[in-house]
Amino acid sequence: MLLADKIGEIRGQTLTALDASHDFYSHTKNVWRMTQRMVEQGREIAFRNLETGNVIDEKDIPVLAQRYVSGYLASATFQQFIAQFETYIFKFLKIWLNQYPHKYADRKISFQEIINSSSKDEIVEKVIDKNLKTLAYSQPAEWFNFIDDIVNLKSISSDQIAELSEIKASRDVLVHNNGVVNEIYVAKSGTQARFRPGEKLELPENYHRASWALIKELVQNISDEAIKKLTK
Amino acid sequence: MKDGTTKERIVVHDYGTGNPYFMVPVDKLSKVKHRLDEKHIVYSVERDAISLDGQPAVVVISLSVKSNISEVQALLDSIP
Repeated sequence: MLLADKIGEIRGQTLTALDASHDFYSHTKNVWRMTQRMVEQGREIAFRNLETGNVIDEKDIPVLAQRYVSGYLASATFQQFIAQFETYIFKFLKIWLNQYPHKYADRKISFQEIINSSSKDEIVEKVIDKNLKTLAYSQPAEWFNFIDDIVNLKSISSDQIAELSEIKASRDVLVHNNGVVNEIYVAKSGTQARFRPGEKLELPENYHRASWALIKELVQNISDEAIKKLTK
Repeated sequence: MKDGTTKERIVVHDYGTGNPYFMVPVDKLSKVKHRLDEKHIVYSVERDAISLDGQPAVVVISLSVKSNISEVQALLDSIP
C-alpha cells in the first residue's frame, strides 16, 4: 500500500472513531435527559444494581443523571477524543518515518541492539519507536513542530495549536490531578488557560463540542496536507 | 416561567454533584438565552432536544458551578 493510501486509511479510521465517541456521548446523554424528563412528568422509576444491591428511584435520578452527564460522561468521552488524536498522530508519524527514516539519520544505536535485531528494517523500527516515545511525552506544540518539519503544515494556525495544548492540559488535569487545576495546567495552557490553580476543571458542552471539532479538523488537515505533498 | 407540558415552574437544579442545570422548552430557548446573555451569565446549551410521546421538546441548559443560582432562578421567574 502506498504511503498516501495508508495516511488516508488512518484518517478515515480516526474520523470514524471520533464520530462514534461523540455519538456515544450524545446518545448516552439523551437517555439520561429522557429519564430526567420522565421524572419531571411524574413517572416512577427504579433501578436496582444486582451486584451492589443499590437501588435508586425517581428522587435520586435527577441528582445522579447530572453528575453522570456533566461529570463522568463528559470527562470520559473528552479523554477519548484526545486518546484518539494521539493514536492518530503517532500512527501517522510511524508510517511516515518508516518510509522516510532519514529524519533520524543522526541517531545513535548500540551495537548490542544491532546484533539483537534480525534485519535492517527491525533496527530502523527500533530507532523510530524509541524517538517517538520521547516525542509522545513532550508538549503538543513539539508534535506540530516535528510534523511541520516533515510535511510543512500550512493550514494549521498557532491559535489551533494553542487550543489543542489547553485541551491536552485539561485532559492531564482530569487524569493526573482528579480534575483540580494546578500550576502545570496553567503553564501548559498559556493564554488559553480557562481556570486558575485550585479550581475544579469544568467541561461545558460547548467546550466539549469545540474540542471534538478541533481534533477532527486537525486530523483532516494534517492528512490532507501530507497526501497532497506525496501526490503532487 | 412555566413548563408548558408539566405546568410546573422551571427550576434551576443544583445538587452539588454536577453542574447546575434547568430544562427549557425549545420554543422559549432564544428568549432565555437572550436574558442570560444580557446578564453575562455563563451557560452551555445542549445540542439535543428531548421530546417524549410527541410533547414539545425541551433542551438542557447547564450553568457553571460558580453560577449564582438565585440570580438565574429570578431571571427565569421573570420570563412569562
